[in-house]
Amino acid sequence: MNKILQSIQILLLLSICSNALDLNATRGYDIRTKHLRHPSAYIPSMCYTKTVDSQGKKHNPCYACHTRAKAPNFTLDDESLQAAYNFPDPALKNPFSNLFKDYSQAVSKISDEQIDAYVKRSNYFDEEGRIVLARKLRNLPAQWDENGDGKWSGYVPDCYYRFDRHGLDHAPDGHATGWAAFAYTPFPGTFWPTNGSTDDVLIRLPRAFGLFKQGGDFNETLYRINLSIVEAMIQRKSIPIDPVDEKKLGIDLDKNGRLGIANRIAYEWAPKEGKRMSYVGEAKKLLQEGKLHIAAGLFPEGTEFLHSVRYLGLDANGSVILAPRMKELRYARKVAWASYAALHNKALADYKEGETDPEQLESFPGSMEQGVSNRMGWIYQGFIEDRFGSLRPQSYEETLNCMGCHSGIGATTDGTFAFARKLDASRAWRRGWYHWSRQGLQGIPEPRLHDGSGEYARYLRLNHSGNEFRSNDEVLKKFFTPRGALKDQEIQRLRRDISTLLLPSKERARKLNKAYRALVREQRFIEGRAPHISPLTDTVWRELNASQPTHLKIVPQ
Amino acid sequence: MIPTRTPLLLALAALASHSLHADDADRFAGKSTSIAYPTTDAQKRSILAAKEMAHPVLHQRSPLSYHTILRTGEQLGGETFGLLKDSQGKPLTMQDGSPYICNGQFGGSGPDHTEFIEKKGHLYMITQFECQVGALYMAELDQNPKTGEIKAKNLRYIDQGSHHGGWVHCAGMKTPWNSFLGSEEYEPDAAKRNTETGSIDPYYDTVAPYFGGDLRKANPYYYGWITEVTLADDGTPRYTKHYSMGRFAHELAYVLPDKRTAYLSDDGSNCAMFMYVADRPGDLSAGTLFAAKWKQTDNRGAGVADLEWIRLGHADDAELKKIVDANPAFDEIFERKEMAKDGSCPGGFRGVNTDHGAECLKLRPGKETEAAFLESRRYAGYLGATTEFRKMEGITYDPDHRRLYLAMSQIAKGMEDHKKKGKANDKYDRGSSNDIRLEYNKCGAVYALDIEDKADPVTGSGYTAKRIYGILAGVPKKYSKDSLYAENSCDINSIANPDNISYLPGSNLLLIGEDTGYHQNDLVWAFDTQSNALIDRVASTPYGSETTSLIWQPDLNGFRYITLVTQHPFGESDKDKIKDPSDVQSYVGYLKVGADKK
Repeated sequence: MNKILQSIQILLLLSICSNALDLNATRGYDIRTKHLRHPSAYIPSMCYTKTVDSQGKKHNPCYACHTRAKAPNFTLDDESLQAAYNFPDPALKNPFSNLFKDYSQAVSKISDEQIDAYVKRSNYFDEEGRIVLARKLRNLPAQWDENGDGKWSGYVPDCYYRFDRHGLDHAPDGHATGWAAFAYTPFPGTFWPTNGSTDDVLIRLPRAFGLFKQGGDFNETLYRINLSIVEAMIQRKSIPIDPVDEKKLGIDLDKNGRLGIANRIAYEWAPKEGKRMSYVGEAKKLLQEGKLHIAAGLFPEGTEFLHSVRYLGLDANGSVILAPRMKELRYARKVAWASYAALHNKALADYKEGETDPEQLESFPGSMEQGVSNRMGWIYQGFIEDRFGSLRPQSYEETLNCMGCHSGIGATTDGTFAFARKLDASRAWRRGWYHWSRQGLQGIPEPRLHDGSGEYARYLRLNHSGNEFRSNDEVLKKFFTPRGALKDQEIQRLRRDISTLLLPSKERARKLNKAYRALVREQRFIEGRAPHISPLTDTVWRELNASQPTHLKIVPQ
Repeated sequence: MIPTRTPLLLALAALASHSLHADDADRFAGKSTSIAYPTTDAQKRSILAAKEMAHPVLHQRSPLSYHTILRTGEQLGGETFGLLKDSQGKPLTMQDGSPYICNGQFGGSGPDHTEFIEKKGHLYMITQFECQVGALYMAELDQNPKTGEIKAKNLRYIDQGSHHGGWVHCAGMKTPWNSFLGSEEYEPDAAKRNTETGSIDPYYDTVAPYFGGDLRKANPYYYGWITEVTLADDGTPRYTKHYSMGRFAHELAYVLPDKRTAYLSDDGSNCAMFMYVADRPGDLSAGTLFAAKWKQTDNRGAGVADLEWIRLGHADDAELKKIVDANPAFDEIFERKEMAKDGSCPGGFRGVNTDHGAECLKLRPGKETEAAFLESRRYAGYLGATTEFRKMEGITYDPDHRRLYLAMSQIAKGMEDHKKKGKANDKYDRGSSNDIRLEYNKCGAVYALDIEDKADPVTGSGYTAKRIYGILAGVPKKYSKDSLYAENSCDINSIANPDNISYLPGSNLLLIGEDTGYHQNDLVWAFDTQSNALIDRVASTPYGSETTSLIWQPDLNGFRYITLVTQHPFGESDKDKIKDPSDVQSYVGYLKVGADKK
């Protein structure tokens, strides 16, 4: 009897074990592993683009990221990376082998109806409108439990994507979650929907930014003023706001020398000359106590970003919109203040390390559960689809893939992209505080460079393509003559409306959705996650030589 | 059922996730005098030290314990530990008003060499900082007579303004005459200086704030020297730069017991090995500088070679200070031309391949002194000395066997035979004499140099090294991806990229500290110089951090210590809160060897 019991027990245990280690949803890939198959994963696949084509024509998409940095981004000499593939030796062989795969067959096997239905179905909410990931993370599956403690120690998704007219998100019970949606001009290249995905970015400040004093109620008006102050600090300009009585806040927001009704946050910041900025409410008190900080180009401690990367949705007219289905949900939180001095010292050490030990890869401490540090005060974390389309945490290596762009490049502001590109509060609809689900990219004018020329047109001109892999035939056809010149008429249209460039046709959208669906089925994201159909052999290097020149002329800024 | 289920489940899970390979065994696990290689996240994030230390001099096993003395940013006596200042003594701040503290936060540079110095019954600690605008701080210490515990009770900034400020201070030593001998690493390349703006590269250009933002007031020849701080009887520091010891990427200068001979290591690629012989014992202000020629006799492993010393010149600090203060330019010393692809040079020029690259140089007439002392590495190559060493680091002397030990972070690049990482590559040997021809070893090696017991006719020193040979080399190793040690690419049972080393006189023990990316955690090793074997893995420092200033303090009022400076440690374990693991200050501390006094 005892023996039988024992055997049953063992059988039971074995079944539990096999459940515990069920890796079917990731096709055998254990997302808990800290082992890096490609230790250079932080260098993104776009960096392997061939800058000279078979006709000898030069293509420079590199300048978009690798540019002369502006303090407190102290990335030294970043623009020089346009001139050479200065990769550490272990990164010379391109680890993103998916780029060389042919997805045309996989794409042809998926019908339009199938992909449309797939894309339309949310994988963030269940049928009852509950957040699927939040439920799963609270009851943590063993295959997501990196340290075996039964608890998830990272971010638990808590945004309901129900935005009011100020862009603030509200839970079903009506309380503000703190997440605020804003509209921005997507960064040139990969993040244009025509290259594969739609996305949105939300910002959240710590609760103290919505409190008049500790223990009080969350005040949305106060919170929005603080958001505008952060906007002023990041964009380094004055920001219009709804009229507010400065006496109630005890602060001269418009810096007109007296407390009255202010309708703008005046940006004047030069602490060494006594020109200071402040938050309002409880956050102001915390600032005075040294528990929070303020500086141009830096977000306050505790700032969070939530960035959903989605399929290309189609509306009834066949226009591309934000799809309900997420490819990825990316999250960042600023957990430590890095002063200008600390960032400067770090940038110099990175520079010297690169010079004395160019073979050494960068390391980014962190873990799958807690997220990965960009070594500038931020923790990054992500969720991505499993083979069945449900969101699951990204492994350490999959997360490492974010770090190259969010740490050592000249184009970022405090390691981030979108908020510095938020639509101008003085011109945009609802001062730019709205979610793409309310209004899309149509009608947004092209961002301008200092000389008045168009930012996107410059990208097309320097890159002779709509993306880093030069795989976007649609943009090529639309914007370039057969001889390769930019079509002036299209450039003029682009100046008034970025959607003419950024949004793909429904045919292209479906193809890209299918190609990405094929990638999802494979679950080999560590070998590349850029959706494409034909192999990118002609435009991407499989292997590079050390310090191989790109033959590009450096575009400094 | 639950209690029996969990362990079995865990055991099975462990078996599934970590297959155990026989050759993966940790040879030091289970020894009380060693630590096991850190494998859990908690272990990887803390300072681990063996429970006790086997030390023949003590004739017993001694317990080890780690203590912190000061963290960067700590305020004491009106000073902030690690705060950088300009030429006027004003704290450096950035546009946001933040004080520039050389603290290792987020992986930046931080404190480096630290020494305890006793003077008239008082105990002091001097620490140098590795930032571009360098800094030196001195703390007065309190030592608990019962427990030996050390605390800082006062802090003082040591001004370097008399010598144009400090620069990237690296390793150092306490001289036999009880002074602090420091260093300036990574000398800026004066040949690249833009004469109009004063700019060289983004790294050098950050000295500008020291000069009130005006780079034209700076000169690359201000930096790359050996420094010394001597304490007066009342503890007042006296600071100087020893220009006569040459200018290069000083890791450190190590003075031998004759108080005249010093060996100097040069840290970078294509670097040289230097020796300095002072005119008078205990006075480094005047002397003769030599560079080594490696004459290879055995190409196996880390190699064996005879050393020939080539005289670069003789000078004193005062005459060189005049030259440096006069704002010299590279072109006044050398004429420079491009080297042809085949390594040849135009007539009258000589091929030189150093850390500054392969180039053709022609000495300007009468500029021998400037070349020897301001451009020591280039001039060493010019005179035919070996400029092929790769990342030469710590030096220590073993009086028991009259041997010098030298850490070489890697055997790579110039040290290979027209190769890079074992593949044909001419970059590091082109135009040079290619004296060193060894197999690539990314894990590095420790060398011994036999010291002659008689005055050498060439150097005039009774401590001249004539032979160099590898005694320990790291072992490159590929662990399988499911191994516990998968993140390491040098064998965990041996060294990786040795950096600081310290011999414990009378013990046959050599302590070896690592600065590596090939072990996930930097380790501290004990090496038996008699059996030529690693005997203990003594300590490890947090993931991503760097250990420096590993110094054996054999007797401080009856207590024994090993000093330890931990730069940019990546976070301590804190399970309740997500933190940025890189947001941590550096700490200066020590391992106490032995029990409290009864």
